[in-house]
Amino acid sequence: MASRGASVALKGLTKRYGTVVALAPTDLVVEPGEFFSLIGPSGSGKSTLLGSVAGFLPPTAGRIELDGKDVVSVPPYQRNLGMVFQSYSLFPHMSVFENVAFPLRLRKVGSGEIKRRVERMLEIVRLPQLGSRRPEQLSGGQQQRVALARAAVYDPRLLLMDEPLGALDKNLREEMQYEIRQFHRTLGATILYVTHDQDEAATLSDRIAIMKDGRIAQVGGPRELYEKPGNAFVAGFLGEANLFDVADVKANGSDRVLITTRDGLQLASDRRDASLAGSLVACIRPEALAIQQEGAAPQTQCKSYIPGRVQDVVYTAGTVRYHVTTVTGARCLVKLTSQRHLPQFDVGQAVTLACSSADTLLIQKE
Amino acid sequence: MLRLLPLVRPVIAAFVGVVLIYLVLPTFVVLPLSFSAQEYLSFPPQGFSIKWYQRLAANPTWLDATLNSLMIGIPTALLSMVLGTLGALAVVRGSLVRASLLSALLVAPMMLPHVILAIGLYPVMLELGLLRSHIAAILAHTVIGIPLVFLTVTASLRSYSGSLERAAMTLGANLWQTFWKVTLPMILPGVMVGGILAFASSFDELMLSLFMTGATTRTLPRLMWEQMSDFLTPVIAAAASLVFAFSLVMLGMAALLQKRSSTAGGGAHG
Repeated sequence: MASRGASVALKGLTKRYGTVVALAPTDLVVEPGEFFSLIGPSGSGKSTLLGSVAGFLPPTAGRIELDGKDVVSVPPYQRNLGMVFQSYSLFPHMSVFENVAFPLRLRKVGSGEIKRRVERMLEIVRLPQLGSRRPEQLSGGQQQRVALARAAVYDPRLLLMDEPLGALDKNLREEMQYEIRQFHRTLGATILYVTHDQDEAATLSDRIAIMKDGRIAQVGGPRELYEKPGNAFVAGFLGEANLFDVADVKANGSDRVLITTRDGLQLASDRRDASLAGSLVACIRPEALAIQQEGAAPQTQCKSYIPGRVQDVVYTAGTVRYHVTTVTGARCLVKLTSQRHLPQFDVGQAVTLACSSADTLLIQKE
Repeated sequence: MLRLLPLVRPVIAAFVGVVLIYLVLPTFVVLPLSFSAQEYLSFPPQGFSIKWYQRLAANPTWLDATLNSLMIGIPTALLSMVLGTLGALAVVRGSLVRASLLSALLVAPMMLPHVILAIGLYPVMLELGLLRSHIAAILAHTVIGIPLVFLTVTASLRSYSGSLERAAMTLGANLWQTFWKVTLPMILPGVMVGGILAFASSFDELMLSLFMTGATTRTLPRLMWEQMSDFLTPVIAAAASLVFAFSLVMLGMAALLQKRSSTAGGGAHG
């Protein structure tokens, strides 16, 4: 039953409302069986993209190919894909069983077969006893599991999910993320998933597209996006980042460079990517910074030292976050795993931040 | 604020009571009048008698008028339900550029004086040869029935997200199937309430009936109006009391439907 998922290819997909560009011409290929997420701030075009694939928003231009066939002119009810909505969208006038049976009845499946497939599906989402309930008698998490079952019971090869966990509280959301992973593994369908939650996207996805202003800013695996962000927006959107505008980059030995930031800091970085052009930004992840007693340590080819003063200290479960103002006036976030043996620093204390050149990334500003 | 002045609450309660009496009492006056033993309509009534109800039953004119009212009211309700629902679907779920303008036009007949509508329709119906027919009254009453259905169905459609219909479509339901299997079950209470209101407004309507109906098609309100000017006996009060009871039943049905739909709709957004 685990049919392989469909391939999705968007070619120059564009959506404009008058002069407003909701989606700039976009190309994207999603592999069969892939779990692919679209993330970005609201208005970035991710829901427009999903709505076009579902068939609700006719694109202004471009092609949407499912398994190589253009479906732009195919109405939503003939695209044979499954969709899960943030608002669950279960039919309140039908029982759970009838909700899941709905797409099968439309397809004129025999009643014995319907019963078998609905029951199997309710078992997959671990709600086997609740077929006779009304949707309103279920919790939010249970309702969304019914919606998953309903969207997948007719074996669509592509599942669209529009912020399916957005209405759930944090703990339930994490539990449901696990459910959706299991669900994806069991079914093998391609999943196109929209969320504004970067952690959720990273937890679930094979690949992620980060969107901004109607364009895809970068596509990659969660680790690739975090470790090699293509620009300042991606670096700041996925996780936290200390970003410094770059004034000058000089060669520093054969495979390293010395960065001078606009506010006058000197940072050592690994060799610059030859394709970088225009305005550049130095990016250091908060956990890549070490914090130590104030002291003049010599700048080396592979290590930068940034003097500063502790502005604020925040303890959360397992993590210490130091907000440090550098001598040049820039704000810097340092994130450490809380460990008893580590020295502690107080607000107002002068410190030195250290970072290796491998963790000082030179990236495009735009 | 109210706690500061212990007298304020009873004063407000008394005021509300007086307003309610003012609103409801004139309607209830008709009941004792219909059981009056006097030969003419006067207040306060004297004695007790059910002879006016007997007279009402014995006179076929009243039965004819009742039948006319039903023959006009029921088609009016059905026509209003179809057209009002279509209008609400277009305004709420459609992607119209001028949806709010259309919405205003649809409810306009409710605000405009019926006499203007009547004067406008009169020569048109005359020209079409429909004057004094049931059809003329049905068409005229449907104009004021559509806004009532439009408003109740609009409220029903706004009570749940359009993603319900989008979900049905991704699951394989075409537009027709989506309407019958998802939209209609969701808005049915609203359609029914609107239909009852449209029927009730037709059943109660005098101005348009005066212009549109004739001797063989006159409705209950028109007959009452004529009797008021000619005879002024408590028969009118008896007829009015029956209409009142009938209207109360319909009002009760509408209220029940509305209550049921509000509890059923509660789970839609969980």
